[in-house]
Amino acid sequence: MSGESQAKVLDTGTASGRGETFDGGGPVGGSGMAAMTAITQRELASLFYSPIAYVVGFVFLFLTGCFFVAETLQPGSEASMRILFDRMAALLVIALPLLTMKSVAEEFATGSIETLMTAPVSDAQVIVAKFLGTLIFYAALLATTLVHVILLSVYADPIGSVVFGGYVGLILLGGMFIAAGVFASCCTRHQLLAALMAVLVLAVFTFAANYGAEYGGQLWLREVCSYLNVLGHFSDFSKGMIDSGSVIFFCSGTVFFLFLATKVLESRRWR
Amino acid sequence: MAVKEKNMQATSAMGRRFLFGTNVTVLILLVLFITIVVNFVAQLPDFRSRADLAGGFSSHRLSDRTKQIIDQVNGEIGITTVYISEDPQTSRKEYFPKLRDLCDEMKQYNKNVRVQHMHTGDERAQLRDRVQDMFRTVADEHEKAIELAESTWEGLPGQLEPLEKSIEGVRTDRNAWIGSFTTLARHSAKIGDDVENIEETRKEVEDLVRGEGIPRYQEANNKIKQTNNELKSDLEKARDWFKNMNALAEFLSDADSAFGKRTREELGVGEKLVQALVKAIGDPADTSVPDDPVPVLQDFARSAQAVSGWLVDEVTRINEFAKQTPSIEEHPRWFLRVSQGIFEMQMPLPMLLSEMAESLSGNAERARLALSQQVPKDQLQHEIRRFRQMAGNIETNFGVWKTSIETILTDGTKIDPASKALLALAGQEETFKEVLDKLGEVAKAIDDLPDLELDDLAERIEEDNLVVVECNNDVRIVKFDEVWPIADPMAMRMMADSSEETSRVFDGDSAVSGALLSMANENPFATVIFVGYETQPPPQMRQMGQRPETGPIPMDQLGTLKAKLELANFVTKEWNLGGEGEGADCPQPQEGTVPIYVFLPPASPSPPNPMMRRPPEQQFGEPELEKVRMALARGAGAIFLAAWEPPQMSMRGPMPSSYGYDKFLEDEWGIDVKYDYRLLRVVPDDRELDRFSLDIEQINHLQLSSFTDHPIGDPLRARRMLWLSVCPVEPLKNVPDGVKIAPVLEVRGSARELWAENNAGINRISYALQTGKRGATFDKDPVNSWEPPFSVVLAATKMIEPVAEEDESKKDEEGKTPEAPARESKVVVMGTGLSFIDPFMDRRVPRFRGEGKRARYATDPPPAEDAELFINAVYWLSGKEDMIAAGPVEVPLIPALESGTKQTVFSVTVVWAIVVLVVGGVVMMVRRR
Repeated sequence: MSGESQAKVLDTGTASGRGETFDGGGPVGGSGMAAMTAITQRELASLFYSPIAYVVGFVFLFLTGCFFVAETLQPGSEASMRILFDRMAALLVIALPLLTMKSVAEEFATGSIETLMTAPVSDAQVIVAKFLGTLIFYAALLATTLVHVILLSVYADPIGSVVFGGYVGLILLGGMFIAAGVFASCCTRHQLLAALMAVLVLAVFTFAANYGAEYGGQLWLREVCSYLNVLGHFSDFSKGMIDSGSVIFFCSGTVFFLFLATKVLESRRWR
Repeated sequence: MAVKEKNMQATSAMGRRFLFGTNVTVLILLVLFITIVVNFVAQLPDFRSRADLAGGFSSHRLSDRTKQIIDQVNGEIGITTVYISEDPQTSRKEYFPKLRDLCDEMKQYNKNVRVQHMHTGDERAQLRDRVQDMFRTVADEHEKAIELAESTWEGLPGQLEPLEKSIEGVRTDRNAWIGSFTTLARHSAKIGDDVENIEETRKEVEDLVRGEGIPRYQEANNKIKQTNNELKSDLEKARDWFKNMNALAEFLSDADSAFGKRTREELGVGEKLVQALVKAIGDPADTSVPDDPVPVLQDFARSAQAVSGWLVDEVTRINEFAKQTPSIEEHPRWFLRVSQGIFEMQMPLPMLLSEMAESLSGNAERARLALSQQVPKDQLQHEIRRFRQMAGNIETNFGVWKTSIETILTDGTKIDPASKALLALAGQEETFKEVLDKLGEVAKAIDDLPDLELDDLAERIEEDNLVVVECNNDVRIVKFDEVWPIADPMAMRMMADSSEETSRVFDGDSAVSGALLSMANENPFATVIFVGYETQPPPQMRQMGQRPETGPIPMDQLGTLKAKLELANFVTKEWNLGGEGEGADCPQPQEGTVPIYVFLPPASPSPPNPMMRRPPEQQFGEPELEKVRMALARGAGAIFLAAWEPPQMSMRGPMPSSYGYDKFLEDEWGIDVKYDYRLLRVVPDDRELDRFSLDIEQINHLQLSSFTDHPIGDPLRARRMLWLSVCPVEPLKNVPDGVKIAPVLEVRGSARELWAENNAGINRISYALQTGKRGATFDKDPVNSWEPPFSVVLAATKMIEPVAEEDESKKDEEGKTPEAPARESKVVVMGTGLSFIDPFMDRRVPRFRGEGKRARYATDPPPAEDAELFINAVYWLSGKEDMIAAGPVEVPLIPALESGTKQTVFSVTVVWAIVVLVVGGVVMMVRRR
């Protein structure tokens, strides 16, 4: 993979141009990594050129702004971003599937998946590349919310390290959500259906699990729901506490969904 | 053939798909299993680690003190939360999340902590059962006692029925001898009430023990005990009464009894004497008087004296009889109704005789006096008429006495069969014995019961929001108000009727750890005795509402500090050196604990008032110091609290301030308390060099946290400590031999904006601020100011000589007291001023944010962390150094915002979101081109 071919991919920015980048390189080794990088860059570019991403970004920022003013910047309440982080985590249940819905589904819809399947890159690399592309875009989106940190610092003295912990948590949580979104996107050629599937899956791990953890009829059910509750694991980070258990939870969840996505993509070869 | 090949291909394709599908499914299940295993292992305490990015300075952290307490507990700690309130003032939604965080923190900190959050009715019932089971053994004993009482009471009405029927029979029979005794009705009514009371108590006990919630055995047994003892006491009184009545009846029914015979004889004698008296003085109706009154009066005096003497003898005899037969005094004829003016009173028969005797004796004396003093004849004749009236009255009263006593004696010989039957029944010991024995058994069973804490728990466990803490097979219930105390108790007290929402602060860390601490330790660590010198005003001034003369830290204003000490497993007591009687004696520490004395600044002597000539008031002096020395002589630890003492104003001008323990601390410990200096934090003037203004916030809340590495203060470094009226405390250059002094809290030499000013300097600064000259600034006066470095809190130790034991049991065979080893005596001297009184500790801290016109007023929670220093000092003095730690941190809060700030912030966030959208639009446009 040369620098020239990478530039070409970025310029083209379409699924059909992808084949040009894979000039006989195998799915593993240096050229495999290069192909993966190229897919990541292309995914990132497609998000940056997508109007839906900006609309999602606008709505996300607008709502977090509302929550910030209404709940975080309350005189007498604790000077921390904790409540806002919790709200952001809940918003991501809807926001991130909207970003990931086209990642693979669009390839199916346009037929470019066939080109991708014949390219010298493994299915896992394709999935990971798509995941990384969305994750980078998501990180950029998160960076825009730093405006709230700056505003809070003007009026109070939040503890910087706790805010940092919250962002670490949001990245890990976002990673898991994106992986679930990519998995959903692999399951169908219809983007809206993919988004809906992802929202449903994430809602189970967030709102349903949260409700179950709180109001589950049996103790064992509450315990299980409590463990599956993504928002519960995230609250540690929003408190400025990095818990290895929660880190493992998010990472293993991410890997599991990426594995599922890979297997779904792989199944096209033998179905 | 071709068809067969096609079929084979199809079968082969299906088989391949099945094979792949199975392969993938198994693989997915395997990965899922690995994911679950990895997560399971990652949650195990041994594999789990946590990094605290806030470094412990966050509201969601366990305090070091709580961590220490958890570490010290052996075995499992159970924390169960029940937060189900839907009341907006205490709602689960608002108040549960922080508690859940705390519980999670505890669980994650130590694997021995087990946390459960409950909210359903079934779970609550299970919790009740579990709590109840913990007290099962003792509860069973209580239940047995209740069963014994219930079975005893059940047969009681039947056992008492014959007696009640007999009583009722004589009460309704108007001719019954015993029915005329009102005491019988009283006993009957009491026993009836007691039996009814038993029924009511049985119902109450049923509700308490078998109603909803945890059975309240203790309360049920207390009720049983009260009812049981009342009945027992009333039955015993009835038994004794009937016994006496039986004896009386037997006595009176004997017509030939010595008393009856003698009485009848004496009545005859008395009658003759009275007749002689009337005869001597003449008929009261006769208005004519003899021409020579002297012989008549002489006869009268003799007769009156004779009757009086007889009456006195008779009173003595009758009283002796009444003493031997007390129930005679309950006879309805024993009392007479006598009118005295507008009042009617009952008079016992012997008193009637006494009065008659007294009257006769007085009149006989009067007659003799008249005769001996050459009184004119007409006056003597007038006296005769008066004596005739008096003799008539005596005759009438004698008749009353005679009738009454004869009736009593005659009635006694004619006691009706019903009365006799009742007396025969009730007079027997067996009638009451069985019942009383059974009631006695119930009383004993209840008295022997061990204490049961279940009742308190039963009450607490019914609340909507509570935390159940279990450890060492013991349980405590932490109430909502303990986890979420009111943020500003002083303000709440002032606006008690306000319907405004109550502002609360989270104190779950202290509340839960306090409960754990009390369970982990059987005994309190020490008894903290607050020692004040407070004198009561004279009684007349007390009635006018004048309060006791107290020092700057009154003993009754230490409620918050005491509550915190009790939460830290200490017992608190008070000792008023200026008290009266027993109140002035040193209280004994709770058994099994050492005393720690906290010496409050004594009341300063009042300035003399030349206008009032009153004796000098009681003042703190050498006698009180001697008591202090005696208390400390056995090596007890002590804290001396000192504050800046402003001069007292008198009619002769300002009086120098004083501190009662000043000399004592200098002589014994080599510590000099600079009570006439106040520590100030100043703000350098930005226009004039070497001029300063006062920091308004810090006048009443001086921030000072420069702790040394002394164990007391070390964990509190960098904590927000706020103090009021702080004075420096310094070691003398020549400290007594053996005394070691270490600073705990100090003002370092580098603190250029902190120094202490004496009273003259304070006056100078006040003047500068009041007049506003040169921008209300002042300079530093080297004469009145005292530059740092100096200390605010000092800790001192020394070895003390053993005190001879007075306990005889500790003497050896030769009668010598074994020599006790030398002990280390410790004191902490705190110049922390008025920082521990309730009005300071319960008040929110005012804060000004910004400068000049942009300054905003806000308040922070009350300065709870100040007490940490005090508690650490008490731990140090009581030898519990392992408990010294920092308590929960205070959370940085969002201050009050100016109006319009929120709109501005919202606008910024909206604009920022629109910017992102616009950027997207621009990108789209560029891309389309």
